[in-house]
Amino acid sequence: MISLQQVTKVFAGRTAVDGLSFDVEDGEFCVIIGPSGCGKSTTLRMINRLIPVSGGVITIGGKDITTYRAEELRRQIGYAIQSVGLFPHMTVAQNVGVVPRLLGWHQTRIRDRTGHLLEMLNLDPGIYSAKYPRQLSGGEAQRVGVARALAADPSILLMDEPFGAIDPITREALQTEFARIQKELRKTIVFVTHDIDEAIRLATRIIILREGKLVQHDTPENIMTNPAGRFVTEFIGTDRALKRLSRLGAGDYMKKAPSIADSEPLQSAARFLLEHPYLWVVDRNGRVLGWLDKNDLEGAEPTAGLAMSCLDHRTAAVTTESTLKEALSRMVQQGIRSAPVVDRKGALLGEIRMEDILEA
Amino acid sequence: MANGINRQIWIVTALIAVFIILTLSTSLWSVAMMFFFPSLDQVIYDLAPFTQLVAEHGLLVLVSSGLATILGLVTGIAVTRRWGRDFLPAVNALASMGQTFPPVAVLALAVPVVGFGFKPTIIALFLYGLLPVVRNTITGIDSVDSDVLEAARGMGMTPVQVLGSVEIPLALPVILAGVRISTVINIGTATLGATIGAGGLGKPIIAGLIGENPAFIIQGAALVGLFAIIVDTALGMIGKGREVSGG
Repeated sequence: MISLQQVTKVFAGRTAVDGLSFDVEDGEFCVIIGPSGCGKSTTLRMINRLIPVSGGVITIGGKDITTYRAEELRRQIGYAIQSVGLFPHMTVAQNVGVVPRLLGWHQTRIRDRTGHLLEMLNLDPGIYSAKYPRQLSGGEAQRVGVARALAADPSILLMDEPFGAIDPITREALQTEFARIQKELRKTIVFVTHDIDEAIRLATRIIILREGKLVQHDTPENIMTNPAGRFVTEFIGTDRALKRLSRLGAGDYMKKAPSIADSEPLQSAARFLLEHPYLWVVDRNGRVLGWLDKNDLEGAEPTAGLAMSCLDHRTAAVTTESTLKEALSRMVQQGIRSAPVVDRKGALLGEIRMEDILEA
Repeated sequence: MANGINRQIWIVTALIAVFIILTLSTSLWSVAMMFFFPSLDQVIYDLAPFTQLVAEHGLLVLVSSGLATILGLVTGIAVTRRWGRDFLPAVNALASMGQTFPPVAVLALAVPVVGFGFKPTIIALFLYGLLPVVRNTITGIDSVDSDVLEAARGMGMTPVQVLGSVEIPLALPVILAGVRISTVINIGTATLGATIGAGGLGKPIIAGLIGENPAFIIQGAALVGLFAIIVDTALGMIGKGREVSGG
């Protein structure tokens, strides 16, 4: 557990952090958020002693952090920053292996660990290990930055807008992946961002800061349903209902989806369509190709595959790891009332219905 | 890139071969010089063998540039540390002064103190070669991305580790460029040592100037020039070679 008690930081007469107290429980994903200059990055950097506190005490696991040597402390804590700060003269593998090397791990252990982490972040070690940072895209560099922070398997991660410097689409993909990784690893995370959507999506608890003071510290649900004052309300924005959807996983709202193979004669589809308003059409590997409704029955095409309305699963379908917000966005984009849920290969697993989203 | 390096190795090898031939072969020189200066009665500088002059010159450069490199590096690193930052402006000013001071003036000032010969020449060359190393070390280290340094510290590197495995490797191309400039300047300037008895390839040049013998001047100058080109190309290759292997 990380605990801050009356922590204060004064820079040249200006108070950046003002009597801040909060606890972060083990396994918690705590997001610190606030407008720029609210002291959120300063707070984060005081936890690994990159900045010394002016007053107050920070403890980790009940022990005052000033009792450790600063370097020892930092090696126990993963650290990822917006600018990534990869070492340009080291390969991706060497970058990831920095902290394990500092801790004196054996070479083969470092190599195994590095490969494992790159795989976990969807970077093929065979391709990426030997690359240099300048050969990476922004998103790839951020992934390497996260892998590097996780390298020595620290129980605590400090992240300062780790997905801040990349385009919105890549950022969303990285958030989804990171949420999946966190589900597995259960690290204690302190994460700084100014993006409320990101906070609501990832956090188990959110801390809202304003001018170095704590305004609200609660779960995302409580903050949205019960914001403490006008500042928080305005900060969350008017699309609270929509934001809430980004916390709900598509996997939890998935329903069984009626489907038919594209090679089946159209008559067999007609029987299904008496019970369902529409039918998904799949190929023999279960991949979604399109859908059929009653109007399609009037044509003279012999099979379901020829009569259907086509749908590209890459643009219309969601995965079980997607959020309801993404599912809704796909439906609006495609003009459909339900979105197919597919696995990695595009095979149909189920569907998300508009009415379920509205009730969620 | 590897091809470029291979070609440069060939060029350096060829230049060294020419240098050795010009140092050893007096007959080649006499034929060439008699062709160009038929009126001179003596076309070969013979007060000292060229092998000795080359060795003296090499020693002058090696010692002075070696000292300048070591002290330049240490100073450059020291004033980029947190505890040394206060001295940065002073060191910059001092190093610039070392460069604007004419080497001849240093020689003139040093002779009364340490006497004639090797020592005053080393002092002058050392002071003269210091600036490029100091300045490039400071520039190189200062140009390391502050985010990279923050990451290094945030991951738990000690100040010494940050210096050794992040700052110096990243600044090395710039530092090496400084060493290269410093050394090449010193190879040329070392000829002045001949005026106060330090020997070296300046001897035939000075003798030629005094005795109005252009053949002597050309012999000394050709070898000094070739020496400088060889060292410049070789040091340049070290820098390039690192870029290829080290990213």
